[in-house]
Amino acid sequence: MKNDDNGLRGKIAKLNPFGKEPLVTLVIITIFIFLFIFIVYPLYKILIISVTDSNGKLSFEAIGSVLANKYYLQSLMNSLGLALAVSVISLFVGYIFAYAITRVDMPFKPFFKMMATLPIISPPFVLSLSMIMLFGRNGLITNKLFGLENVNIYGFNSLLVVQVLSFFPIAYLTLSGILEAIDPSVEDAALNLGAQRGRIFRTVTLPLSFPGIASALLLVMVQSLQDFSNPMVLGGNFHTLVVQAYVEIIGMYDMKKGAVISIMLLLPTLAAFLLQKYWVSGKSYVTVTGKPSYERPKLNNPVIKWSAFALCSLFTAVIMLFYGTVIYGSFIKIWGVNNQFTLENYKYIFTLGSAPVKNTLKLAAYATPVGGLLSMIIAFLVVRKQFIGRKAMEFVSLLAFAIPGTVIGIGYILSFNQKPLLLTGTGLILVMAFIFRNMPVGIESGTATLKQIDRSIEEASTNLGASSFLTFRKITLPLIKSAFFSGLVYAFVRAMTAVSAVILLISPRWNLVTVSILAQVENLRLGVAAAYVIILIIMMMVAIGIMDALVKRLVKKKETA
Amino acid sequence: MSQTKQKNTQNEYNGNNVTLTELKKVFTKHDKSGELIAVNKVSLEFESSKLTTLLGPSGCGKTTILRMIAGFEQVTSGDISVGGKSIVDTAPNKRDLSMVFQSYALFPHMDIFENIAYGLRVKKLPENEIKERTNKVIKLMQLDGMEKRYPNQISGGQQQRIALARAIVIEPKVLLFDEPLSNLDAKLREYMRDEIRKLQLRLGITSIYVTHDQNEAMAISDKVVIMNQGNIEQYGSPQEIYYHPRNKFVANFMGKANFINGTIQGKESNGVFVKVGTYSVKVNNPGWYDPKQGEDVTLVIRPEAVKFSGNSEGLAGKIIRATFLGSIAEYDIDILGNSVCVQVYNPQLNNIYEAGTEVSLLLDPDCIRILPAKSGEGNEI
Repeated sequence: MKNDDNGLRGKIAKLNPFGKEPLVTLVIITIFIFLFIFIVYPLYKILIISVTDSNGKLSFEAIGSVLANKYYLQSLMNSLGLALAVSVISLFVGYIFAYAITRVDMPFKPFFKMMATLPIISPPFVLSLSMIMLFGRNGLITNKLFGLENVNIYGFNSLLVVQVLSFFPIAYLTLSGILEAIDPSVEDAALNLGAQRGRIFRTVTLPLSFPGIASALLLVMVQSLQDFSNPMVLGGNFHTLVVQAYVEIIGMYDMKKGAVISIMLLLPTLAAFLLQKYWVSGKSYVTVTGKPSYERPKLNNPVIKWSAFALCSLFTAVIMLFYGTVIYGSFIKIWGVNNQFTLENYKYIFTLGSAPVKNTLKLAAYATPVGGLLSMIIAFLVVRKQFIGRKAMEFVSLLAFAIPGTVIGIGYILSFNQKPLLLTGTGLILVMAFIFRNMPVGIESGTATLKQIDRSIEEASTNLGASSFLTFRKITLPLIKSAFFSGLVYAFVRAMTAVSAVILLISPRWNLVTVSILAQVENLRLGVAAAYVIILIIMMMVAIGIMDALVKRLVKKKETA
Repeated sequence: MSQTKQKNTQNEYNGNNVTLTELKKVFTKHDKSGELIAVNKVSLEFESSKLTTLLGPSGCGKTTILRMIAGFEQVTSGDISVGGKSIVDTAPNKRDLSMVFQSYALFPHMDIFENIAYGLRVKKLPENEIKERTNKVIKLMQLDGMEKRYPNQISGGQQQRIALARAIVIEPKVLLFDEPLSNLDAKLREYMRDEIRKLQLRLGITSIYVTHDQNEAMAISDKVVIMNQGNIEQYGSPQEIYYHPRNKFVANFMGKANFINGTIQGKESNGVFVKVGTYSVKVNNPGWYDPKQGEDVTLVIRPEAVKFSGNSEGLAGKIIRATFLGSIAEYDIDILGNSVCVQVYNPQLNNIYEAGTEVSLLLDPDCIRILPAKSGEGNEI
């Protein structure tokens, strides 16, 4: 082998700090250090503490005691059962929406599209809150409409409803992507060969969307398993692992048990994530041949059209009912008791309760641009550069998607409670949690976009004398600006709405709005909680608008410069 | 629809002529700013057992016509019939017309055998008949041994053949081809073109073939329909269209053509004399148009029908550009402000001229057609 550039020697030459591009190497090393400290190390700490005793000796006592306890095993079964039920139902709802929107000539499509994605950017607690407002003891429907007394809405059924409403958009987005990507002529070919609509669906459309179905199931499962806010509010006697871990740490101060439980939680989410990433996504049939040659003809059979419309309308109506209830509730004195109109809830937030709002905004404002840019840089490095540990960098940075927030929270407490990395109680620990938890979506969309952009565009820039950095700033970043923007939006929304990780990391100085909402719900001050939620939604919408304008301006400036 | 299926003989395909009557298709523009007439009251008959090509530039309405025949597009007005029976109200899956798609549209999740057998399974034929007929077509298309492979494991040419096999195995009344060769490289395209033609002649299935490639159209067709902006410009055999174009658009679209303006000088029993500058051109067979004495006309002549005189006789001009293409040498010659293209075959036997040379041209009196001077680039609507 002559001059083997891909061999070990070539790789070492590329990693050499005194190599061709020392700055790139430096960036790579820095990113690795941060990924190690803020993702790998906390997981390692959790693992260590669960297999040692209080003297640091190897011991399986903690694991043994958790496994011997039927109560925890029941929680595991609860979590898994709920996740399974939620993912199957979400899949059905998501498939109906995706099919109707991509295949059927249905009126009001843009509206349905919006409603089907709304729950993704909405704060936690919204749906649980309105669940209580609608179906609780003083519920609008249960009590006012049907006159029922002492209704118990806490438990599996309510969680099922609320989680399906929260997570079906993930299924919808995954499936609509797949359904859209199927070449329309493949379905036309089946029609042309004599197949009926039903048969085309059964023999062509459905089998071609199997990879999407599997993806959707697994992604929703991960989300359901990780969910903290809904089971916390609505779980009642139906205990899930996430809440269990939280109770162990905050209620019992038992770090060891918390750690063991979080590993029990991590294993299934990690398995689902790995299955999705490395097995299902390799099975895709999409774009085997040619280009999609024309716009897909939409089904206009009246039966299909109007039943799709009816189903979508029904779900949309439920979503609107839930959101409408929260808006209404934010203007009510005491829900179910004194239904007078009031602005007091808002007044309270703007006076006494404004600190958490400001904190949240401030920390999210720090974390978002850093995280957004970092995810684009990682995407760029992973797709375009060759270096030792490239796969590892991609894997570790995407791993955060599969790690439940609770696990991150516990890991951070264990890792950063002593010098030299004493971060507990600071705002920085929250910022770091935001950055490293919220990167994966930006990285995913960045890599997907980059892979579609011809490499030679960047090579042309290098060829004309630009360094890797200049090329990234002048060529790559403008080309992937939509991915950059969606990464930013996602990072921001997640930072503003995070609960599970941050609830373990907050301090009196750094209290956050989502945690305040939880406190209000627990004290049954539903009006204030609702007002917080509304303010959070408005802030997010404004911030997304600002980010949109900024990204546009940033890129435009570079184009004219 | 009560026709009983006969055996697989050529007779089965007789009487499957496709007739379009005043066929019209109007699309609403995407921004709803107005309407687009894609097909403008087209009437046409595709002859039974023949291969007819719809040829035209992109956006001329050819694919829309094909998709209306297949049933993928709704007809705005007019009628389509197969063998004298209207099919516009028949569902696309009941029309018994097989289409070969531009993207092939193979089912990526089925192996080759199942792809080809799909249409037979839809018909719920007995398993042994499905096997027998599928295997027969696999043999016919020389796809033996590939039955268990999947579409993403085979080459573009093979995918094309499977698309064709899938279309013919159900023994349709009509075969529809939607630019089937456009995704293949040049060599393979010529090869598959001949394969399709051979197969069509052998099976005698009425075929409608959409393309924008004039060479493909000439090579493969019994009849060609030249389309432009939703209208038919001309219908005829490839030779009729090449040698007797109705207007400049057709002359230009099918092959290369030279247009030289002149004035009718005299009409005699054995031809027409046209004055071009100071030179008089004799035209033996002017074509469909009968010009009047003194009328301004346009002469149409193909590049291969123009010769260098080698002396001062003929139309005087100057070579602007000389291109050597191997089998031919091509010259652009300026004659009274018109650019005239001349092709000389086997140039090594002739002089190879250079740009700037003054030459004289002879136009073969049998190869010139006369069009009215106002014959536009196409029918203006």
